[in-house]
Amino acid sequence: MKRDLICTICPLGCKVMATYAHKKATAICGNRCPKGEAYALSEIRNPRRILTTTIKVEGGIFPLVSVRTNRPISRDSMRRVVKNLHNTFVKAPIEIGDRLAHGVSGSGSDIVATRSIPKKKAKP
Amino acid sequence: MTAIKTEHIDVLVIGGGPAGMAAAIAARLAGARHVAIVERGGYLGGILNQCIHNGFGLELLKKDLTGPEYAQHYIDQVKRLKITVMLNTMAIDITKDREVTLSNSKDGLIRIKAGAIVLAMGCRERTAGMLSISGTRPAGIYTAGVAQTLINLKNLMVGKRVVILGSGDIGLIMARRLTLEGAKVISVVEKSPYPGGLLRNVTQCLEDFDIPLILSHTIIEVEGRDRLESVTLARVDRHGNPLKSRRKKIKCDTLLISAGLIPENELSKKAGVRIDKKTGGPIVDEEYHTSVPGIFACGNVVSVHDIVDWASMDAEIAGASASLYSSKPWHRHHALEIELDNEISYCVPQILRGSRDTEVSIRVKRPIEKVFVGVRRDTMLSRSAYHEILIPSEALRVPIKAGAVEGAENLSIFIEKSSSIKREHK
Repeated sequence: MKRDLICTICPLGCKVMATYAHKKATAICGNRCPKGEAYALSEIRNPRRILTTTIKVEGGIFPLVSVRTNRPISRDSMRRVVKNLHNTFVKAPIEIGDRLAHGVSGSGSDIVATRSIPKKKAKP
Repeated sequence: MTAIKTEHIDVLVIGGGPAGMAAAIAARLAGARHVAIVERGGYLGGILNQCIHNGFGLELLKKDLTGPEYAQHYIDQVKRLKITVMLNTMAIDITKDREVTLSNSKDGLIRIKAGAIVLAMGCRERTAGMLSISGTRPAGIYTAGVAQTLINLKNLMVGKRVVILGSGDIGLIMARRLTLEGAKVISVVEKSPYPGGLLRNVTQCLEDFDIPLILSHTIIEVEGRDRLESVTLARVDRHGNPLKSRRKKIKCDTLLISAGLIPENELSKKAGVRIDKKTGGPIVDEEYHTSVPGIFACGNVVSVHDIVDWASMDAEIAGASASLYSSKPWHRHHALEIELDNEISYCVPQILRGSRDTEVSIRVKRPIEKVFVGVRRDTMLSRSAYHEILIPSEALRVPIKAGAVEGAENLSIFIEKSSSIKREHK
């Protein structure tokens, strides 16, 4: 089988042509760097993405904190992970880089804060 | 009533988004002592804070960051370099002599005399009202960026069944975001025969989630009394006019508009800065110097950039130049306006003075395949490079050496079909 892919690793967006059979690549061309080949291989086998979403914050200056997975997770699990995180609350203060949830998506990925959320100051 | 005291600042940057921060940092590093950023909002980073997706920083920082992380990288430097930051402060007037009037609720009016000014106010979205959509005015119609603010910053969901008009990058990103949050994105509708956003966003935001992209179509009518109930989809002809036949009603409760961004230049105009009709932003040279001496501009206020890294790169040049100008103003002479091929809609910078090597950003009017893009100095071809395809949603940066500008009578950027060049060689 043949598939035309747009490599999403960087904004160059190379058009990569992959020929494959039974989830195994036989030829890959069009990529301008080795990352493109790795991307095509992973797209055929099991597409993975960095998931970015938000988690509710208690006692912060903002009601949400933006987060990401610390490594790419299976594309098919993204919706489920976001849904599960809807029931998660974290307490302010939060520092950028804090691990807010462990082992999501069954692949050992953690959820990491991408923004610092200071505590809301109590009104005097 | 007391008179307003005028404060002197070496470099005043208006706007605390990615361009403003990069300019302020560069100005400080280039030697300006007192650098200040004026920001209308309550925090630095601007729109980056709601762009929670990744893909930022790949070009410039060689890291795959989310918007807030990219912003933090610059916020840390702003703090370290002791740049003054005035939050919740609005610049309400600028004169061509670089006197700026600011206003906030704490100090009232503030007047500043700046050695140099960097305009970095960014852009705003084209709204539903600016498109010709007939019908009622129900709730449920948002610009993609407003929906992004509501969902990513305020924890407010915008709807359940969504149609997105326009395939700009924010619209594509929001299609994915809404789907992940549990909404049904029925389709993304694009008037052009090709997508408006980066190809990588079409792939990872639409194809990944089986969201249909309907090209050469538009929304001509909305229906609903209190809340949006349906939109009418119509096919358009080659000129973008909706056809009478081939119309279809789609039931939905939300319509997002992602139909382009417009540089925000009300302030620039007050200072008398010349505006390019094509970009909607100031005309600049390779130092990002506008037509008014001592006023520089960078980022999306100049022209809408595809990726933030490039806005930051341009801003670094603008900031460093502003710093230099504030310590030792220079007189400008030799200026060459770049002439453009018919296939190119605009370029930035528009003017070259030969003061430094530069990269001129060009955007084509329509997709073209297998072409050479080159620079012609007077009658001499100085450089050309082959491109498999050029599309309007992805700007191309054409390097031009300072030496190519010096002493030139005219300078043009051309695009030639590779086949016609081959014929020339025969």
